[in-house]
Amino acid sequence: MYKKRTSRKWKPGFSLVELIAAVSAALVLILGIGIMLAHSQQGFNRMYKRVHSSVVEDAYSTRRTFDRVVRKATTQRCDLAPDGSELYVYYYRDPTHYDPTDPSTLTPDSYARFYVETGGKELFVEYGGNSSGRVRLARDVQMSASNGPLFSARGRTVYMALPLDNGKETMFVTSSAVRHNK
Amino acid sequence: MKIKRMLSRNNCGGLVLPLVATIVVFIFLIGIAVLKVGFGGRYIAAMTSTQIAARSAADAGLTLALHEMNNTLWSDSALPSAGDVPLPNSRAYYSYSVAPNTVGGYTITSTGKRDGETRYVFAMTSRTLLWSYAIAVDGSLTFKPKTTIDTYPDAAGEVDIRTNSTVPGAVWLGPDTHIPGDIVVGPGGADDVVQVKASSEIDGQVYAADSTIDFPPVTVPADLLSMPLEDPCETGPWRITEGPHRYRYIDRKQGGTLTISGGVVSIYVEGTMQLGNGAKLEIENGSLLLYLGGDFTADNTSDIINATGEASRLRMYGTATCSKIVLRNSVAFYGAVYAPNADLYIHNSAASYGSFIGKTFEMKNSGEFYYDTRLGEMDPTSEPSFFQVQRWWER
Repeated sequence: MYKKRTSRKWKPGFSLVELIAAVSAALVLILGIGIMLAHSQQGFNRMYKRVHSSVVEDAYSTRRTFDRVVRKATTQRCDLAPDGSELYVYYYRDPTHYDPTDPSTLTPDSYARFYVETGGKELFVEYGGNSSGRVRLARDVQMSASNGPLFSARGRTVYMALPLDNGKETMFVTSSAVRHNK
Repeated sequence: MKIKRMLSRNNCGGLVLPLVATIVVFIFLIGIAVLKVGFGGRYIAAMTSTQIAARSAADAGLTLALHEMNNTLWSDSALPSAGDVPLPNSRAYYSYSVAPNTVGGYTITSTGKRDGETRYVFAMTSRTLLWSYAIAVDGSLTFKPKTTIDTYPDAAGEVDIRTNSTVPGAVWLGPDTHIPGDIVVGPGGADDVVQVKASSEIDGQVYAADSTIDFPPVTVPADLLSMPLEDPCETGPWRITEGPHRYRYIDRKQGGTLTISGGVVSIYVEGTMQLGNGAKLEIENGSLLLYLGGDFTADNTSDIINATGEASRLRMYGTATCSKIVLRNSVAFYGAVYAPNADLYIHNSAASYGSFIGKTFEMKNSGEFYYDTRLGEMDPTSEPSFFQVQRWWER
């Protein structure tokens, strides 16, 4: 009876050594998991910025607009500012409306002006002639002499070299497009 | 009692399982988010590259359709077309079709496909006269010092000069030469294709064309080929009147004059044609269409006199076997030369008015060349021409 009572009351616990070992192991595990989580978070943030930062979105939309507009532009004329910060290309609003005997269909009726607002960092495209409107393409343009001209042209090809920098992300967008219309 | 005791003894498991489960769920959520963002980025990149590939395929289809139109025989009942042609080194495909349009030309529809993305490119084309170029060659172009170039009959127009060559130095402009227009070199040609000496000027730009000109070969009209061979007159005065004529050769000896009169005179010379020293070829009125099966040489002091003053009234066509045309006029030359396999040497000591299309071109003397803009208004269906895009759009 005594034995039974004694065995029922005595509850074996952890020794100090066991406790220290267990806590140490847990700490190592928690530290490892913590570092892993922190790295994952950093990676996520970095990837998120790369995909969704204003620089990337502006670069993507600017390149698409530049391609779309310049590809349909006429080879008759293309005007550039001396410092390459401004570009005018001319196009036919309705290219299917063509009649070699009708002079009114032989000259472009619309234009697009790509420009960086004076003193600013914003790139716009302005549509004129039979089209109208103004669209902001990019917000963080970093114009500098070392980056070269923003726009240049040679023959039927128009080039764009757009440096973007929002303080966190930097990107240099280059694109070229051939003017197809006569 | 036993069960109660067991439960109370095993219930001291603690928080380990919920803690591990929470961490796993947390890591799982972060993993999903990273994957989603990564996938989004890759999706945008993949979509962009797919769209670019589809568009490139459509562009390639359009280029090939144009090439087929310019280099193969076809008719309105058998127009060029192709379906699902793979673009080399790519998973993209293109198709194209050509259809007549309402303004007398042809409309090309080209479709590019890649992994479900489809792009359409359209182009309205029409014939462009090769005479619309002042000078166009396949190879080299040389202008000696102090060459003057302009337009005629209205001055100060634009003169475009073109070569298919991309060889450095293929275009050589001597000192004090002025080009009032663009110089277009072959596709991919760099700045060094054009060598400009000091004090020479180019008003326009120097740039590379997006494609070479495929100079169509000269085909001698059937009515000329079917004519019986006539004997040429070598000395003294000789007059050829309206209609087709065919000669084995023409060799005008010293001082002889060959006069062309009447309406349209067409001559096919199977072999060489030579104007000796002091010989004259004179077009009084009407027009001369001269088809050359061999070389053409006008010796010193010989003259080609086109009294009409219109380059279109003297048109010289060199066939595949015509390899050299040499002009040494001492009076103003009005004429247009189309000889895609011939080297053209212009030694005229007086001005030349017209257009020169050949294999190479060399203006020997420091002369004057005026492009006759009226040549560009001729009927493109009956003159050397090629199809060119007039309007272009995409979808």
